[in-house]
Amino acid sequence: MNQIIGMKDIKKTYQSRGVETMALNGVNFSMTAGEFVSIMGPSGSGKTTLLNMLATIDQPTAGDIYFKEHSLTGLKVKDLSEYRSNNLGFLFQEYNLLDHLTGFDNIALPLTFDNINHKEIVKKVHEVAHLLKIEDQLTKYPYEMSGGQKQRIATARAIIKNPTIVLADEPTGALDSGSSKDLLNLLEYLNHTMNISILMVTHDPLSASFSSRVVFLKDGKEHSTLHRGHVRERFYNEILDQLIYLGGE
Amino acid sequence: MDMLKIAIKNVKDSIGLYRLYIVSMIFSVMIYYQFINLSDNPTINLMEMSDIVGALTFMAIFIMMIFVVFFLFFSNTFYIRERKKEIGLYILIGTTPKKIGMIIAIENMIIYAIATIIGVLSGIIFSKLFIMITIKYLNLGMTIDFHISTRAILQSLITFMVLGLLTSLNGYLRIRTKSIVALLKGKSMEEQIPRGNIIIGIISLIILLGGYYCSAIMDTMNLLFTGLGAIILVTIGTSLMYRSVMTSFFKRALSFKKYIYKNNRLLVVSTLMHRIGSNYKVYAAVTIFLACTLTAFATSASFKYGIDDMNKVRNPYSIKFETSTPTGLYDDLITYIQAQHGQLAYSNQNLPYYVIKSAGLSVYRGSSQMDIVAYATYKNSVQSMDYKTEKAVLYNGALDDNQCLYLNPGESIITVANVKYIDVEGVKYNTQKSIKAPLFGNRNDTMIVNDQLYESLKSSIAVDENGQLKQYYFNGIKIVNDEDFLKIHAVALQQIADDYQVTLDYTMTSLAMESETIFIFIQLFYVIGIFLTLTFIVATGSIIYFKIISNASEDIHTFRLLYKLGMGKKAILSVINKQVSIFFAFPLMIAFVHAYFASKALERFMGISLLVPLIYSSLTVTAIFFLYYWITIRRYKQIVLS
Repeated sequence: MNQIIGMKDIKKTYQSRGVETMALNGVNFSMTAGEFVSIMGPSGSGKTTLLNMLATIDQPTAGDIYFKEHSLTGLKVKDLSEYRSNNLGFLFQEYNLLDHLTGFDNIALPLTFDNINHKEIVKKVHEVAHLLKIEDQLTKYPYEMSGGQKQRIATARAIIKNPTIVLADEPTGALDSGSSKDLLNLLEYLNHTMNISILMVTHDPLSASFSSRVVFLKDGKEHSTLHRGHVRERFYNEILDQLIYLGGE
Repeated sequence: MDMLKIAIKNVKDSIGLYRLYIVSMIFSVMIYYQFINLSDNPTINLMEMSDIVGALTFMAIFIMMIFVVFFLFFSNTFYIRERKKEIGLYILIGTTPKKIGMIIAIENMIIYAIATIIGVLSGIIFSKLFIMITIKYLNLGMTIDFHISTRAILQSLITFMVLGLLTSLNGYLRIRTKSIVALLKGKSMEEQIPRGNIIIGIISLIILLGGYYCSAIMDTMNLLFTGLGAIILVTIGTSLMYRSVMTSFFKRALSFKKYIYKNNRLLVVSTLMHRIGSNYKVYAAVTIFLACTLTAFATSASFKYGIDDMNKVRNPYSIKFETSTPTGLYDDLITYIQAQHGQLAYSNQNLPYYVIKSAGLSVYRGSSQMDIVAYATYKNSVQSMDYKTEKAVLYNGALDDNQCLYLNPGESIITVANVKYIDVEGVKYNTQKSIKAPLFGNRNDTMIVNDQLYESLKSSIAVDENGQLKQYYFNGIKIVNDEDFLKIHAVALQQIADDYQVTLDYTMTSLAMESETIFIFIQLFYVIGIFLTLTFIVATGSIIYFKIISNASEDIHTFRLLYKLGMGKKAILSVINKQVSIFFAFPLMIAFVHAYFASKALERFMGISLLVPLIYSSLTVTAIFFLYYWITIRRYKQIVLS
């Protein structure tokens, strides 16, 4: 199996003022190349914690995290930065664009960390902008853009370095339904045509129905998994049923 | 009682935030106390110059107060902004704006009370040190008693508590006039990207150059116009420059992708554009303050520095004497000195001059008695002393028979009085040049004329009632290490002079400085200037610190994002270092330029070069700013990396 990312028996406890909270309680999870996976679950089920573990911005209390069969546990801070920079793309609910940079510079930002030749950067940005149809947004500053436009810029930034996997944390959380659908179609498109793997954390069953697999978390453990058939609407109903089942348990 | 408790708790909780504020305030209170205490000191009050000490300290206090008020209101506003969100939350849970305003006001008063009390206490403790430093610089050669002035304590307490009340009121009003939503939004993202406008940029540069031009043509005649013009133009120009020139410049830089996509410059430059553009008023104010500080610092330092020069003009010789006919005494003395292995620096023998009892000067000079010498005599003498042989003390060109030079015996280092003409027995001689240079030392003013005029005037003026010619011959000898030499040989030298019935006049360079009141003044001015300057620098540094730190909490998100995007910790630290250092360096560099032009204008009034003191003061300020940079970086990292 062509596994790109995985976690084995991950436990995470937070300690604050002497009170211990268990965020993840022995989670096993893995993804193969080209998958589009959603993670769902009620608040406090550990969705975001799991995402942060894979993003290596949070360390597990116990267990191992793998990237293409290499363990990430115990790597140095510097190597972790490099790992993120070269293999991961990020999408956030709040877009997280830098306010004082234009769309163009926001997209180019990750490439500037590596001191790549500027001509190559400019070429790359134009390519991605063309792909995402955001050429007319490049000279604008974030405050001049709508939410959907900002998230597209953020998406361009996420894929500019051809990441192995894009980690998305509620990417549609701040968008209206029209822009949400646009963005999800875009993610699906990127997943299909460019074979970018996507791991998305979401509350929204509609968003989740765009993915190929949905993993449900509950109380820090994986609870169940749904695979998508051919029809998205049907998958959407299955997800809804599963959420009702989860809530009533 | 309830509110007091909350206020005390808040102060305790946010002491980290307030630390630098309190320290700067304590420092201001301390210096303030020192000045009053000094002017109130009984020992100083007994001295003949107590009036002037009082006037000087009053002026110093006045200048300091203007600055401190600006500083305190600025920092007060900063803290209110910093805590807007917390305040909004209080109001949301049902506290009335009035009550929360009161709590903030009480907090402010507590902080003022702490700072004022500690400031006065450390003022009392350090006043001994302050006086010791003052005495050391003044070379007063006497002890000033350690003195605790109740007036100084009371005045410091009252002044700063009144300021505390005013700033509290300022905070209170700021909270009451804001809507809850505005407060809850916290430190707003009010700042948009400033639009750098090239035309305004060019205009601002022209205005700035206009200001510099005013300073360049400034003299006593047009002082009001050009002085005011320079200050206003430079202030406007600086402010516009931060707003337009810098933003246009950064914007342009951002479009040079080749440059900007390397070494994380993209982040540094865009942040600078954003921050400087939106805070241009503060940076302009800081720059102007710094320029004034530097100039004041350099000027007071130059007083200290100019004293040596002044001393040389007033006391050029270790031994001097005059005779009414040329004698051999000079040769005898030289022979003796050389036999005793005394080392001669320079000497002059039998310089002829005569005295006018009353000459009319175009400016009032107290006594109108004047010495008259021939230009050749003066020229030889000043050249023998190797005193600034450049043009400044010599006259290039021939003096006509109706012209003269005016020489001042070095009574002040501020300026050479601009004497337009000298009136001798109804005839006006136009002064071609006013000179400050050593000749006979601390004697009368001197009129220098060409050799023919010297001779022709001699017959009409230098005659006594009996028709006898009354000319004098001046002799001066400068010995290296005169203090040591004269201690041993003064008596022997006088014995030689006794044969000629002449009394020798000894002046030891170092001792002269200690005894003359005029030197004490200047040094007092120096000490006060230095202490004032220190207060200014401390406060200016704090303002920049506040500005940077208040932006740091906004930057947390940015750096967290960059970290996620794979930017290494080292790279993040380097970006922080660059940003913070530029925030300090910019105002400082622009202030250097301003101060340079200001000092050039001052030089013309003072007649001494300010370049060296300006360099010294620039170095000092830079060193202090480095310290601030270090403190800021530390705190900034604490906030961002937490």
